[in-house]
Amino acid sequence: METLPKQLPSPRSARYWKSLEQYEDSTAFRRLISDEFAPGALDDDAGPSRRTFLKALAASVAVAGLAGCKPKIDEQIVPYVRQPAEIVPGRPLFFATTMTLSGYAQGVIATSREGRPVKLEGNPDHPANRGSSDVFLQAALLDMYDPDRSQTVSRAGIISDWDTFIGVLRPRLAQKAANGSGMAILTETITSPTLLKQIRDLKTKYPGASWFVHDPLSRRNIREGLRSATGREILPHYDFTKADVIVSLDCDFLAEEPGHCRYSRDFQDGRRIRSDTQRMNRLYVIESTHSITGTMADHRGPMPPSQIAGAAAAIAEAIQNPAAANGWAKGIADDLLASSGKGLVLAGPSQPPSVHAAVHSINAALGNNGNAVIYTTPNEGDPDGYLQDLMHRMERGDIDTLFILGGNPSYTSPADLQFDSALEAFSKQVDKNLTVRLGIYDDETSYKCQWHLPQTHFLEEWSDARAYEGTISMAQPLIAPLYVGRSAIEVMDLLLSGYLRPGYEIAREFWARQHAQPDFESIWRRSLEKGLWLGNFTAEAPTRQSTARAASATNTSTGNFELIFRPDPSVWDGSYTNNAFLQELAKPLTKLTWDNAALISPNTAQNLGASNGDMLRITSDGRQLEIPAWILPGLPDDTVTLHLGYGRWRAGSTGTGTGFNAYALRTRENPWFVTGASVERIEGKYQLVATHTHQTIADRHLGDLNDQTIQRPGNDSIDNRKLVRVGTLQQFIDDPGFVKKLDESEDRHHLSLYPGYENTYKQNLAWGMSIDMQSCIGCNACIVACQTENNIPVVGKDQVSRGREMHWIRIDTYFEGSPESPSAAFHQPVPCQQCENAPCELVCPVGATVHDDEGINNMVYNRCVGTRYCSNNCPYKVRRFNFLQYADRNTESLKLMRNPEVTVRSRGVMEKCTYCIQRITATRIDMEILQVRKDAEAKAAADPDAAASIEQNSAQQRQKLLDSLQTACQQACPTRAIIFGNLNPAVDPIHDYSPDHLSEATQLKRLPLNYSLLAELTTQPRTTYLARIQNPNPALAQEGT
Amino acid sequence: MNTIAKVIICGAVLALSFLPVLGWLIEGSPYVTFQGVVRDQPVPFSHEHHVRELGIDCRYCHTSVTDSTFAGLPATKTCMTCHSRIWTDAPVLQAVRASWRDEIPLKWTRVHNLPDFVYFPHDIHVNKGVGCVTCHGRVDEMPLMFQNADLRMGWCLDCHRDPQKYLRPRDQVFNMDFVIDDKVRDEFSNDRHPVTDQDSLGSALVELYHIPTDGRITNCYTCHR
Repeated sequence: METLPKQLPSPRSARYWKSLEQYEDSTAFRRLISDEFAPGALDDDAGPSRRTFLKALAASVAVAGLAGCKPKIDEQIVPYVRQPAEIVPGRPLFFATTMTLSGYAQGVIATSREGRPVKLEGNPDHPANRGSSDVFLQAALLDMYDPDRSQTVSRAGIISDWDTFIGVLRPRLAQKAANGSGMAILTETITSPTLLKQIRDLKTKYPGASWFVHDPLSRRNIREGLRSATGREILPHYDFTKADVIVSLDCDFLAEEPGHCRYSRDFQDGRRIRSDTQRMNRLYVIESTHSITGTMADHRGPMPPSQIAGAAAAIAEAIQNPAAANGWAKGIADDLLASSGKGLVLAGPSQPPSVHAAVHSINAALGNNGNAVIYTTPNEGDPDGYLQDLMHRMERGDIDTLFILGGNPSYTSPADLQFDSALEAFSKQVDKNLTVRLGIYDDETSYKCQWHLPQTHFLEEWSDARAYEGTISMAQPLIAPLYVGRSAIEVMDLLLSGYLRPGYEIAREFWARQHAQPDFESIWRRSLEKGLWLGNFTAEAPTRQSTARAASATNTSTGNFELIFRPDPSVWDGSYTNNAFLQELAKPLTKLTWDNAALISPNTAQNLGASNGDMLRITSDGRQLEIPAWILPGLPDDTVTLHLGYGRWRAGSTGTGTGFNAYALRTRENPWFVTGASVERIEGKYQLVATHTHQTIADRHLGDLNDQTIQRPGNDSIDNRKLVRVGTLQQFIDDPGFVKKLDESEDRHHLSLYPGYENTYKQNLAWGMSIDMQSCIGCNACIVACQTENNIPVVGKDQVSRGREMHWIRIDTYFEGSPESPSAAFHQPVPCQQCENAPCELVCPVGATVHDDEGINNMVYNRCVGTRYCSNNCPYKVRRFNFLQYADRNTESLKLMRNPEVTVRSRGVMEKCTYCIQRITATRIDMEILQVRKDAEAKAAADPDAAASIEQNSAQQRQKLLDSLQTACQQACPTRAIIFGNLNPAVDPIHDYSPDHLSEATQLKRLPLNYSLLAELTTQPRTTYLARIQNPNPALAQEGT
Repeated sequence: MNTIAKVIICGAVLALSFLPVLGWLIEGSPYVTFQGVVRDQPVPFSHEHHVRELGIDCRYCHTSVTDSTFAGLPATKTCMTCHSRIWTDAPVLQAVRASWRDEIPLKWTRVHNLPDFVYFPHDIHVNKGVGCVTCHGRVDEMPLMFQNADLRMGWCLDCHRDPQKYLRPRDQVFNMDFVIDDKVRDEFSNDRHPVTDQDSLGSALVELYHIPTDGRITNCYTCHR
């Protein structure tokens, strides 16, 4: 805990850096950023030389010239035979449904165009995410259209069909009905009331049947800890709005807890800085890895995972006996005591049960239980056993019929169980055993089962699930199954009845029984409309579970490293490994794409003699994993963080072969961390691709880098202090305007050669965006939201390594302090800044990028000839060039996914953020149509009063349309860090200039925390930022602990 | 010999300099734009018969034209509202009956086909007083459908730059034979702007329908995105 940050000196002397390369600030790095494109970006792809290419180009132009004479291909229009009443062709429809992540529900509103879901958003009525999204919700669309999905029933790899399967299944079920035992179901965590009821029914019908659960991200530690502390079967969830002081013990609640979207919103609501803000919440994070929750901390202490129990004990003791305590524990304890009943201590599922018991007693002592901490009976069903119990019974020969519904246990099971080979041996006994797998992909587990059944995606099925705090969410299909898939509910019903029935009937039947009232029909319809169950429901009481588990680690190796296993921020536990959107997403903090790595601290790297990409051999309990190293500042020394979800061998064409399988080191006793591992550097290097050095905003006045005579003002030449503006709450209270003083060149904003000209773009609607660095948690949801909204292609690992990734918005993460112990990290989302004086526009030789009257820098693809001058002249590095034909124009299923409102760009054109111009245009058109229609009504009105009331009503409706306009990134953001809107109140339909009627973006831009990036260039960006304000504990700062 | 060479050289230079002109001419010709070219359709539907002779309103079939970017094409059911009673065994309607019977949609050939990077919304045009005839021509005089205008960008801009040249009252949008008569003159004249001809009517309507005249509707993002 020596590394808890000291109070940040003011004026700040620390530098901010995006990458270790930038921290070192070598000439090589300066050259890298002074060039527009990364090395290799302009090279041909291991293909023909430039000369050959030009020759080919000349020939193809000649041929293309001839081809151009060919008449246009006829395009067909296919109307309905009977047009459904609710469909207006060209207008989207919206449906509420539900997505689950590790079993827990998040509300979804899916946009459907002509029967195809083309965009997913959070459901504003859903308590788990309140309209926001995480990366998985945003990327789930690609999963549904994934051409690698399993498309057929297969038996031992040979194509079969449902009828054949049912023909095999029925005799087996008949036999089970006669003698009972031997049937087993294996699933992941289930919260669906319908599915849980079906499992209970199955056990009633076949008394010998058992249900087993294997969840690689199980929350059993929490439940066991609370059971030992209270004797009850409970799980916690949190209300961050009631917490002034938050202490997280290895709990990444902004990314990994079931309610993380809601938690992020509530947590940030307690930290928003407005003009009169005097107080905000304070977050202490003690963690074993560097998570995005850690980057939000006011005090952060990296610590090996095995020592966190000690930290919890120290805090508990300091609360018990404040007088005797000292150091950081006293600081935290005093703070918690001072806000008793308004504090929150929480521990992550990776910590052992004892820590959860300790946390419970701390919260109880402080009176936090019942306020910020809420205990409820678990929403997930309680199985008869876990994977090891199942294997035990399989080995004893007690089981001869195994149904694996979902999950992927062959890949995600602990290495010491060797489930994969056990399943293979089990399946090989064809005359005795039957193994059936229902899965979206024909993956590792299906490969080892006799039968594979294709599963429907959640957008294709009727279902339900419960959210982190128990809300029942309804799922309805957006599209008929693309292939012959069936849902888990339908397959369970098949086991129960022997027939395949539609999921709609099954789900409806279940809920009709729950709500056996005359108004069921209306409740059912309203529930589906809302996405939430509004009727009666009686949950089953949780069953008491066995605690038969090895208590402590029995690691036979004697190394001095600790290994930490965490779900990957992009591909989770491996469920999303085949999702190219997520694979290409630069992971928070590391900015790695397409791979995972052994994350180590800079000190550890030095000790091992390893740098980024050097291969390490990790040995734990006799098992080995060879994996490349990646240096991440802020990790505790002598630990290795390993993200799960990579190294799959049957993931699909996208995911197979990416990264390294951390499950190979995971054991059943210690699924979350192990001590005593040893790590050595071995020969070899692996190409890890990260985007942390890409698109670095550089100082423009470096001069010729080869000219050694130029005096450069030392490390401050790249003065990120202007880019990243940070202060403390005290600083803000003392001088609210301190942010502006960090850069006096802001005044130059108003300089103009043509007085009056600066108002050119301010006559009409004036679009602008405010990005709050205080609120941004760096979760990446905006990036994927932008990608699905704007048809942004995926380019692949090789192309990313050349700096050719296409994302229109990126998140720059700046660390502060030294790499060995960075004191903080800040996230800065950077889309096109929509400069009013746009440097890109001046250099385009063909006028392909020009301003419009609403202040948006238009990018016109059909004019662009690909000179890339604009990108070279963009100081923010936000333009992206299609070096190759990245958009897949051949895969049929992916064509269905595209947003029809946005052009699919082809090779050779530049592109960039448009502020979601398609959404702006749609809103503007709706507003204008409303206006002319209401004008006509007013004209026809009987008397002037009626006319006036129509006018007023029209203005209100138009204002509502304008206010509800959101960009995709804004809509997805869990913390409302991105706010977009009209900056010109004069053209608001309701314009009285009162602060209440100003758009939220306008209001935010008037805050003293507002600043623009590179203001000294007088580009006058429409996108501006709000500075980050931290709230360190003065007591800890003074002691310097 | 010398003369022949000169003629050939000069001729070649002349011919080459005409190439761009030739290209421009081809580019604007119906061969490329499909202006005035009748397209093959599964059913030889006559707008002339249905619109002029029977007086069916545009919106009877193109239902979403006022509410959506896409004007909409009639579902087979729309055809069958009449054709289940009349012309029930006409050979030309075989495809319609087959579609109805087999529940397989008709596949029409798109007549007005804009490039994929152009986004044309019908609703805003129709609601702001751009008549169907203005772009689609006298559909009621077309036995078989063809594209009336060349649909090149210059043609779009002609109106987007000077909308008053083409606007008509909103209630006349679907009228094929709209003329500025006394009723229109009376209705839209005011003290400042007497309505006499299209230009003065258009100017009055531009104001009445809040149509921007500051060039906003010629911004690139108006149509391209």
